[in-house]
Amino acid sequence: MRIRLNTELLSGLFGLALAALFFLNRGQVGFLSAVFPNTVLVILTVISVALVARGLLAGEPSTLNLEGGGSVLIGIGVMVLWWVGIRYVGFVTTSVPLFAALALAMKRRAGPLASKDYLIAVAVALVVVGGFFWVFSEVLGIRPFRAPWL
Amino acid sequence: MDVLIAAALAVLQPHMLLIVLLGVTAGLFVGALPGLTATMALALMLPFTFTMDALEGLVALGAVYMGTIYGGAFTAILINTPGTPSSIATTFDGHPMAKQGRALEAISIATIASVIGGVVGVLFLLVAAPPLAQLALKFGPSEMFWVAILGLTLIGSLGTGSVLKGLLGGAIGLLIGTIGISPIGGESRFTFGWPPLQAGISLIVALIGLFVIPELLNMMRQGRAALDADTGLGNSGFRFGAAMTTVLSKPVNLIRSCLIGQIIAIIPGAGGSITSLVAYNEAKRGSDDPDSFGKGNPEGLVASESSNNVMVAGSMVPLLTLGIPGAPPDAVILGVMLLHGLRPGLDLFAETGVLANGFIISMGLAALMLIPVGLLGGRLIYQVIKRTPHYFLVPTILVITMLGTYALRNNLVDVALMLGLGMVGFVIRGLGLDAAPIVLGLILGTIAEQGYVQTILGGMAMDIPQLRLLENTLSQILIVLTVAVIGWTAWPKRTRKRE
Repeated sequence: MRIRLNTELLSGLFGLALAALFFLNRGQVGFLSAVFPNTVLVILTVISVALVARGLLAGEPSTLNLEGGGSVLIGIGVMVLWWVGIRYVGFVTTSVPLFAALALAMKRRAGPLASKDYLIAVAVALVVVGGFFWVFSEVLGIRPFRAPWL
Repeated sequence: MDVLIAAALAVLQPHMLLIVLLGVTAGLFVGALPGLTATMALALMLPFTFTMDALEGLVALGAVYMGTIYGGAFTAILINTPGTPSSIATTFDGHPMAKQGRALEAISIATIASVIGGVVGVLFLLVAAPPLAQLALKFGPSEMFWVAILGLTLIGSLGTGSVLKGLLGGAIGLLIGTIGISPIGGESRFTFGWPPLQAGISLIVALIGLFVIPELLNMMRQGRAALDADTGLGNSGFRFGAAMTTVLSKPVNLIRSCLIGQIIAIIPGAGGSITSLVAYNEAKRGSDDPDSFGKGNPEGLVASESSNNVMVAGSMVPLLTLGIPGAPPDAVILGVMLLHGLRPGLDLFAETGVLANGFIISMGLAALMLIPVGLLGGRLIYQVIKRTPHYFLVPTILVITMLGTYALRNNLVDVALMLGLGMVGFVIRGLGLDAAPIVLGLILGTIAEQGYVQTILGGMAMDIPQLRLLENTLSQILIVLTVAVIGWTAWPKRTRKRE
């Protein structure tokens, strides 16, 4: 599916929303801490207003291709789940099933899955996740994630 | 001259050459992994140098540094993901070349440009270190502010579309850079009631989030087509000689990029990340065909890769002559020098000339070593990416980016921020906002703020403290340069429109 969007107007509105978000959360800080962010907020607002004005007066709609949007949403869901799993379960225990699930979901778009695809996906997930985890924690000496399981 | 010969003989020993080879190879693979920076590579290498003598340790670190900066180009070219911040500009033309089926050509050109940049940087360091260091010392807070502003003028040419959107991206980057503890006032800003944000948003977290995650989401959406759009990823028949001809066919671009890399590298704190962006910008502005930049023009690739490798040796100028690290990885090298009882400064060359010059010469060797290591390693990484099915490539990159981001500060909050920024980056990409101006704003924001606030602090006795920014000659030169650059950017566009 393709939709037509006035990206200049939307960019300007995004900039204004961001400026408002930061303005409302600027808190009570002294002159030395506030002078630069305040200047940036003014600049951001001016640019955003200019974009909104241009979008309204001379904006040319661009075409946005939404094809595959479902896959993107699945991808975002997997990433969020991945982070939550790493935090509360463990890196390897979360990453292996999610790696395999993501790989299978992407492969499935090309055609139906055979039972050996599942086995291959799990095997690759074990090797990649286990391999990188070992390199980072044992070879590079980076402190592993704090979670109940590995 | 005797010292130089003795230094050359010291580093040409077989075991030294082996250290250089291993260092370059290790750096290359670390640099190719998103999230693992040159600073991290050198820090990881540090314990290995404890058992070495001073020269061996410095040679090893110099080789790793050179390899890491170069290694960042591989993923930038092949999967549009800069391995290190200094490879951001490499994505602009490197990845379009890969998508046109010219991946190996792009890698070969990047290799040769990196080698030339690395060797030029070393020659500069050998010949002109002391006078350059004296020049670098003249950069105070006011000058640093204007350097940052001059850098921000690049935004006009970084985006492929509207200048206004580029400016919006730059302003967003500047704003993101203000999150956390204020560098001068010391107060928390824009933490939204979430204490982990007091540490701010790291440049690497933003870089990975804004570049890698949208690319991965795009690959999930389009499948393999997102990587090899038109003619398949890469060709196999590209020759080394042809790449050399391409690089040398535009000598002005090459020399200009090396000069830019050298000048920015000697200014402590200016940040090696922007050298390639500045060089790219100037290459585009000076080109006969600026419209082809961002679509696979090798000139852009040459500018980016030659300048960021000049920076490796260039940033050693303030380190070796003044003891001031020119870039974050130099701080690790400074640590090794202090560990071995070496005091950086002009006396270093007088008292331990063989060691100082040997270290510099070894970086030249490391640059030359990039040819065999880089071309072989480049082909290997290219083959791995080409042959790996996209449905395994995406989760593999995701695993590496998560581990790499976590490894920065051993902090899962960084991983959450990286993913969050990536999702925002994917949405705003749809609005025509590029990641590069945002990252540039983030890089330059800290430099600009420190320079701005420190200068104002120094001018508190004046009626208008901001006037202090305009006071000294070097600042005035930088202001004139900024105005000239803006004018230069706008002028050809108007001329082209008229034509």
